[in-house]
Amino acid sequence: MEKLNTHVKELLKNGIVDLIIAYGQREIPIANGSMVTSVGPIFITRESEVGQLVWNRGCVHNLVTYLTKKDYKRYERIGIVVKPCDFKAINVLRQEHQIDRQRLFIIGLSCNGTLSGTIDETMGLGTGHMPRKCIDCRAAHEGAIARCVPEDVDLAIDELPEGELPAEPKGEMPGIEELEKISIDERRAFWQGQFQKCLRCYACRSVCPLCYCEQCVCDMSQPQWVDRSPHLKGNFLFHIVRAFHLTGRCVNCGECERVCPMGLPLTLLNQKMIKDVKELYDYESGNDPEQAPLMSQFKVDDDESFIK
Amino acid sequence: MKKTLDQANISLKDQHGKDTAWKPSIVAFLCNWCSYAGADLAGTSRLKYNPNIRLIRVPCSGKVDPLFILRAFADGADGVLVSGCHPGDCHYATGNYFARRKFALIKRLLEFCGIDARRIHFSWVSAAEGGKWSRVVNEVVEAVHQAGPFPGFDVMQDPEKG
Repeated sequence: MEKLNTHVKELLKNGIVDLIIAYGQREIPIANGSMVTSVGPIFITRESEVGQLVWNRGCVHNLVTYLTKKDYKRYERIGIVVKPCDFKAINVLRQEHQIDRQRLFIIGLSCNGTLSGTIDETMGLGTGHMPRKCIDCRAAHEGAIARCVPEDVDLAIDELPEGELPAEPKGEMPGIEELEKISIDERRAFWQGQFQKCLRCYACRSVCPLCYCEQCVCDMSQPQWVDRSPHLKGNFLFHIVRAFHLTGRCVNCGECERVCPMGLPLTLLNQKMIKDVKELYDYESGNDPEQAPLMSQFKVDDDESFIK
Repeated sequence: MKKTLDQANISLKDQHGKDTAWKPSIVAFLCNWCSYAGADLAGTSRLKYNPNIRLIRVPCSGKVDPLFILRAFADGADGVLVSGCHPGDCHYATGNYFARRKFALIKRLLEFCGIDARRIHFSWVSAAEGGKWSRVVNEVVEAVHQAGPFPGFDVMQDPEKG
């Protein structure tokens, strides 16, 4: 963390960046009116504010989400702190020509797992659980540590998040394989049970680094593709559309599921599509910023066994 | 109760002899250049096929956004068929290649969400394939008939009863 603080100070002092998007400690109000200290995104433009920076288990957020927001477009050069998993989202945005690499100063950190939980839980940084994305990521990396490739980022800091490794969650939700095995009607009943809880607060859409459309098709009223009131029909359509618009793009950062106030297993849909895309087209999103996006390319011999 | 088409057509007459059997309504998106002309050929050739299908002409199968498919189901369709030119024959050269990826993935996603795969069909029908068109329609109608009426996204169904 010392290294991170020093580097960020240097960057701001020398005017290399105008804004740093990083993780920091800040006071936020909770339901009973008192304030708690929590870890979250902070935006720093002055050298004096750098002391608030942290890099610990609470840094689960994907900060890439802010890069496409209008408020941050006015800064000429933005410094951003990313975990190896978040970095993939930058690649997808570059594939889709949404951000200019020259405008970014990327600080890549190493990571071996973060903590996901409610604010009350994370304030003590001990009682939450490890999100699904970290479990998958740890399994895929040697020694369970993911590191940024130094050539990809402007500055790689090989420091792991502070704090104890959180425990893995107890399996309440079925996995993709389990869902694929049950009958079609049971599956429909499962999703209906989940989708009917949805409030249509669109937190999943707001937090997604890849949902950057200025007007979402789900907000349109003429024509109205997706029913807008929070009832089961509209919710069902919304979540299918959301999952499909992320097909071949989603980098499995898990933010949608983390912010969902109703606890819908949204990453299940995304992970299912990631799996199918890999199976059908041997494509993984977020690995190569120069590659054309999945839906903008084709192979003459793509699978068409399902077509009459 | 699930019946095959033949059984359904001879049964379920009401007291006035009117046929009350459930007939699926299927929305078909046809590309202007091949499949629509193929369906036209089926008509001018006096080929017979099941009438439970409603055709919508689109410029290219690449124009068919998966939203169209979802909206058709939301508005009460029991099944959807999308038909375009054979690969390599697209009027716009590559439209159907891009469409093919979208179709493969939306079919899998809908299946994962519990929409019966028998309701979602894709086909390549050229302008010369009137016979294939009538065969495809019969197959699709049969498959949707087996799947039964689409209950809608918002009707909770007891998985025990299917």
